[in-house]
Amino acid sequence: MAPALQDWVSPSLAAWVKHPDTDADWESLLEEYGGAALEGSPDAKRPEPLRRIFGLVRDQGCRTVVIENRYIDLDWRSEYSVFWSRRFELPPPFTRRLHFFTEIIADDQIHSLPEAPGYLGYCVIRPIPWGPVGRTVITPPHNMRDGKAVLATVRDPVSLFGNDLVAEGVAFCQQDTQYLVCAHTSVWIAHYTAYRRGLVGRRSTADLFEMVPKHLSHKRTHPSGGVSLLQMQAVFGGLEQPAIFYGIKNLPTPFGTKPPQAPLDPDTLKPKPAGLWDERIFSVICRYLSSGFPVIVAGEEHALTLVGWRRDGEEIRFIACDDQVGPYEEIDSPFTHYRAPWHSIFVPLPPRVLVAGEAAESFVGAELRGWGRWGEANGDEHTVSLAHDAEHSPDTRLECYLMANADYKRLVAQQGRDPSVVRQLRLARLPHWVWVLEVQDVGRRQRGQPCVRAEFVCDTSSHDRSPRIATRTLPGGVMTSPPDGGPIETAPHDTPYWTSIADVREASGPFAAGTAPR
Amino acid sequence: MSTQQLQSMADVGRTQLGAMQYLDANERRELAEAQQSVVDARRGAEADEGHLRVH
Repeated sequence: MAPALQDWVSPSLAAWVKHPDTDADWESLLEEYGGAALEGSPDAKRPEPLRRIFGLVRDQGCRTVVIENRYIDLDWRSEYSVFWSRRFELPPPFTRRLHFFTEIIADDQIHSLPEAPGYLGYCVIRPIPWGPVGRTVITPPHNMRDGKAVLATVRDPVSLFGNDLVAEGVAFCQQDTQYLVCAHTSVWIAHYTAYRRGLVGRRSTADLFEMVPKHLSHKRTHPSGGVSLLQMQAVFGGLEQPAIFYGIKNLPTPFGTKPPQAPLDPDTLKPKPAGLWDERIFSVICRYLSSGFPVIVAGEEHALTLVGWRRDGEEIRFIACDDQVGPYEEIDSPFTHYRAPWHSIFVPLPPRVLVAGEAAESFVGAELRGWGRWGEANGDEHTVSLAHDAEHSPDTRLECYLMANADYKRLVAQQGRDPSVVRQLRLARLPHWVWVLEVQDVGRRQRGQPCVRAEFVCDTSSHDRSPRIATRTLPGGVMTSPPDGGPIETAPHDTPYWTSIADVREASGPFAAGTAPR
Repeated sequence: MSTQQLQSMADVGRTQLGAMQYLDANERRELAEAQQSVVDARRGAEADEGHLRVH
């Protein structure tokens, strides 16, 4: 049953604090806001995501929870206006916002927090059953910080009774099963991330819901009977984040690789679904995650958002925001996921990004082979060695990053490159978005050393079949190719290795509202 | 790189094929197929998976 109105909207009580110290203290909070005591019953609120959030902040030393009362949440207010306010039994139109701190904060300090309160982030609690967790941004756990994982984090400014705070982490939200389902929350996570990066304007969850074309389904919109993938693509279009769509059974085969053979199911002797074995899933998805763009995957009747990845020995572990689980879930393997086999991948991107990551990577792979032969013909042993290593050496890797031209040109000065190269690259005529492809020495990168041997910058507004390469930095020489047939410029350099642009960007902190135009 | 090598690099860059001129016909066909597979990966998928629902 929804909480009584007067419990949530007392106008005289702004906030209060709790100092949960024991398991019982945290369980009490979970029961109050997540309905944990009713777990298993039809009235249970599905407390798992909130349980996970409490576990995350607790592991990071949370000692104070500030409960901000009568919080007007933009998303909840939008949902309330179009859906919840039309029910016979009304929930309150307000939420509560929980703020987590490592320092002990007293009630009389809420209006004037200490200098370094140890802010871990916040979680909006909706006053409804079956999905209490609204907008949430929590600091990453320790094992995913300081370069241990690649995450699509945001900087989220928060004002708490005049105190300026910043939550830094991935965005998360839970479905309520009636109005918002997993499709809405997974899209919202990608949208909120793009909003906080300054790529799109803010849209509420109700806006998002209304963008679902009703004529594309035979199911009712209220209560939601689910959303089709076609409908999801329409929502991305409405958000100005048109998504690149991949069917996992038909993933691309970059230059120099062969399409894998599907293993047969021993019982049916038919090929197993690609979502149970095709390792190309990792390279397709990681290209975008490494660029800070969340990726949505759909499996058995469920969608979830991948927000990062990390290496675990030879394995890659995706990091997910699944609305049924909570933020920062580490997925052992997509092939054994509880919703396997995954069948679809959505990558919401800025509208001007027309070239897929694997198109750029495949094309540059072929270019490297060509430049290697050029090196043989022109006595350039460094380029010959580069091309050979790029194709054959396990210690050399081609990585690609999608970034705004403005960010690339800002960061290029921090890579330890020749000043004349920096000048040439900064003055190069580039489109708004570029793929930056780096040939990296794996060992040097793992040791935190400058690791890039060569770089290619690709025009994302060109074509998958023949991506335009705007700049090329080979061992000893850089070449920029202007658009519209402009004169090619070359210049020598003597920097054998420079820092990866991804490492320079990581060192500058989470993706802030950027200078990138759309 | 020497001045001569830089000049050669620019000469390659000015040609229509660029560095791809150093690939043989089979390799260029392999590249064309690889790039086409990227295009096909997106075209075919939507028709099959688009109707699937998530909730």
